[in-house]
Amino acid sequence: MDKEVVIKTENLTKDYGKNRGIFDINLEIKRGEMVGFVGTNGSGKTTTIRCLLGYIKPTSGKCSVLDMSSFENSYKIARNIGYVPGEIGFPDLPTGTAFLKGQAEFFRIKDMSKINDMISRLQLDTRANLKRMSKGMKQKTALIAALMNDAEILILDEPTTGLDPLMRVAFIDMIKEEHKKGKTIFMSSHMFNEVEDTCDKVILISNGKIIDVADMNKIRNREEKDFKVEFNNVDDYKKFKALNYKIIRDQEKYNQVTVSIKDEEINDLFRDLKNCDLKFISEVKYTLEKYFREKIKEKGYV
Amino acid sequence: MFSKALFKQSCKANYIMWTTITIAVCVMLAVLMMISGSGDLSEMRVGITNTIVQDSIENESEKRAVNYYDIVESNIGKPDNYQGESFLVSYGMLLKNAEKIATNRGYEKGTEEYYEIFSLLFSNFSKDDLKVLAGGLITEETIDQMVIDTGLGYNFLNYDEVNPNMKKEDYIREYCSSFLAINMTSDRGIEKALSGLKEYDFGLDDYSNLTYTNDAGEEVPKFVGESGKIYLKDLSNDSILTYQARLDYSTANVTDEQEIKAIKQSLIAEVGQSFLASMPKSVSESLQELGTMDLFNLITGSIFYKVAGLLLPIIYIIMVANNLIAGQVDSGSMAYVLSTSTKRKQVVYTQATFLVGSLFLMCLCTTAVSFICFTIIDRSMISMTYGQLALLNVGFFVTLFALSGISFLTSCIFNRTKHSMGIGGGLNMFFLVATILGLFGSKVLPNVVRIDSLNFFNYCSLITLFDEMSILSANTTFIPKLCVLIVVGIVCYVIGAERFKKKDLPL
Repeated sequence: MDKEVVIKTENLTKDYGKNRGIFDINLEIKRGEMVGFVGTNGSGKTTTIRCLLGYIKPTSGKCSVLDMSSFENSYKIARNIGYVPGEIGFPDLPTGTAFLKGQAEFFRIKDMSKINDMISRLQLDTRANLKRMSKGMKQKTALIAALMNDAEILILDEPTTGLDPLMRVAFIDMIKEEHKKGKTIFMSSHMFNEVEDTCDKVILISNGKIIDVADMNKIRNREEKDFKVEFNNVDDYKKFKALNYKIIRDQEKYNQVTVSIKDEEINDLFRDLKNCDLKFISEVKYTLEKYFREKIKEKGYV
Repeated sequence: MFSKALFKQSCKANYIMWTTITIAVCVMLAVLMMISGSGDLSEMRVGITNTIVQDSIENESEKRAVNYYDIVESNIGKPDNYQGESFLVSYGMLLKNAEKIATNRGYEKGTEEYYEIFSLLFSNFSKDDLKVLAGGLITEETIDQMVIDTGLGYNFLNYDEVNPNMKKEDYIREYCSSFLAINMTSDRGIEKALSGLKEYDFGLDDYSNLTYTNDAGEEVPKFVGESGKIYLKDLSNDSILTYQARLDYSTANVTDEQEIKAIKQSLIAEVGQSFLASMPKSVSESLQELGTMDLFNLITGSIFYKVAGLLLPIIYIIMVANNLIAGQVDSGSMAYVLSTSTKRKQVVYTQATFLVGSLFLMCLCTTAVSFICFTIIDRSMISMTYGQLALLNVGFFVTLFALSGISFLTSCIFNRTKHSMGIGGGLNMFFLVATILGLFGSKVLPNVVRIDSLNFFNYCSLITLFDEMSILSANTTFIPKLCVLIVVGIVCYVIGAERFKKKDLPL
C-alpha cells in the first residue's frame, strides 16, 4: 500500500464547548480509496468535513488535503474537491440550468457538453425551479455541481438522506462509478448498510471521537459465521447445547440457539444436526452495525 | 480580488429588488418635487404671508387710529396735561411754521389744502427738517409722535371753523381717520411700513398687490393710492366707532377718573391688538415662521432626502446586505461559491462592491430624476440651486453608504439571517425612526408643529450627520459630518471583510 495520502488529519480538534465538537481526530485517506464516515446525528461528521474543506478553523491539531493545510489554503484545495453539502441550499437563482451555468462560470468551464451529458444520464430536468425541486432533484443537481470540474477528491455529506430507496441505489451507483475512475471518495452517512456495501474502509465516529476504522474486506470475508438454529423438540435442543459449540445467543423459550462457527467447522455442524428435528437454520449476517456494536462494547463506550 | 461570476450571480439575484426600489424612489422624488415646485405650495406660503402682512398693517392702522382719537379726545382744551410746557412751546412753533408754509404756498385758511399742510408737513419732511421746524426744542424720539399729535391737534383746534354742525366726537373721528389714511399712504408712511415687513421679504410690488374689492366691484389696492386712502379711512373710522361704543358702554356707570383711564387703556390695547398679537406668542411666532419658510427646501431636502427617500433604499440595504453574505451562509449556498476556489477575500470584496455599486447607481438615478424635475419646475419661488441639489444627492448616497456598511458588517459577522437582519436591519430602522421622530423636533419644521423635546432623537441617529440644513443654507458644516459618515461606512466594510475572512462557516 504505497498510495499517496490525500486527506490527513492529526489530532484534529474543534471544541464547541460543553463536550460538543470533535476531539483528536486522526484520519488518513489514500488516493483512490472510498471511505465511509459513519456516526449518529451530531457525532461530528459534518464538523470534520467542514474542517477538511477549510470552512472552519480547528481549535488545535492539523488538517490537510493534498499536503495543504485546509483553513489557510481552502481556495486552493477547493479546486481539487467536489463537495456535496449535507444541507443543500442553492443560490438565489431561478432554475437549475441557471445554477449549473453559474457554477460552470465560476470554474471557467466553457464546454458544457460534459455537464449536459451528466444531466441526461441522471434524467434531471434542470429547467425546474430551484426552490421547488424535490430532494432527489436537488441532490442530483448538487452532485452534478460537485462533479463538474472533475476534482480528484469527492466529499459527500450524507448524500442519500431523504432519498427514496430506488433513488438511493441510483445515486450510490453514480458515486461508485466515479470511484472506479480513480477518484478518492469520502462519504458520510448515518446509515451502516449504505456504506457497508460500497466503501473500502469505514470510519466510525461517536461523540466527536473516532471509535474504530473498519476494513470492509475483513468484515465481508469473516472466517466465522453465525447460525441461528431452532429445534422442534426440547430433547434435540438440549442435546445440541451439550455439544461444544460457541453459543452466542440462547433462547430457551423457542428452543433456539445462535452459534458462531468457523468456516472449517461448518461440516461438523451439519453432521451434528443430521439426526435432529430442525425447525429451521439460517445464517445471521454479520453486519457493520454489529461489528461496531461489538467494538463499542469492547472499548467501553455506551 | 474580484469574482466576475459571483458579481453576475449577485446581480441576477437582486436586480428585481433593485429595479423596483429604484423606480419607486424616483417616482416618489419626481412627484414630490413636481408638487412642491408647482407653485401650489408657494402660493400657500404667499397666502400666509399676505394674510399676516395685511393683518398686521390693518391692526397697526386700527391701533393708531384709536390712539389718535384718544389723544385728541382727552386733550381737548387742556394742552397742559399733555407733554408739558416744552411741548407747547415747540407745538406752537410748529403750528406757526406750518401756517407760514401754507400761506407761502398761497393756500387760503379754511380750505382743505390749508389743513392738509399740517398733516403732510410731517410726512414729507425729514426728521432733521422737523427738528429745525421745532426750533431744536424736542428730542428726536418724540418727533414721530409729535408729527402725529401736532397734525391732529391743529386740525382739532380748528374744528368748529371747518364744520360747526358736527358733533365733537364725530369730528375728531373723521379727522383722525383722514389723517391716518393720508399719513399711511404717503411715501414716508409706505417706506416705514415696508421696513417693518422686511423679514417677510415683502417689497413695494407685493405691498401694492394687496387688494380689496371696492363698492364699484373693482379690485383696487388696499394700502396705496386713493383707494388705499378710502380703505384705511373706513378701517380707522370703524375701529374708532367700535372703541367709542365700547368705551361708552364700559364707562356708563363709572365716575372715577382713574378707573376710566384704566378702562380706556385696556380698551385701546384690545382694539389695537393684531391677529398675531392676540395669539400666544409661540403660535404667532410660528405663523410668522410659516410665512417666511421655504417649503420646497423643507419637502425636498429635509423630508425626502433625509427621511422619506431613505426608507426604501434602507429596506433594499437590509435585504441585499443580508442576501449577499449571511443569507448565503445560512442557506448553505455559500458552499457552492467557496467550493469553486473563490477566496473569501474575493467573495467579500465582490459582494461589497456590488452593494456599494448598486446604491451608487440608485443614487445616480435619483440625481438624474431630481435634476430633470428641477429643470421643469418653476424655480422663481425656490431658493435652492443646482449645486445644492447635487450636494443633497451626494449626502443621500453617503448616508446610504454608511447605513449599508452597518448592514454589511452584521451580515459578515453573523451566520444566521435572523441575527444579521435583526441587528443590522434593526439598527438601520432605529436610525430612520429616530430621524423621523427627530424631524418633529428639528428646526426645519415650523414651530407650530415642532415638538422641541423630540430633537433628542436627532442625537441618537447616524442619519443626523447628513446635515441637509447646512447644505441648503450654503455653509460648510456639512462637510466634516459627511466625512464622518464616509469613515463609518469604510470602517464597517473593512471590519466586516476581516471578520468574514477569519470566521468559521457552517457550510
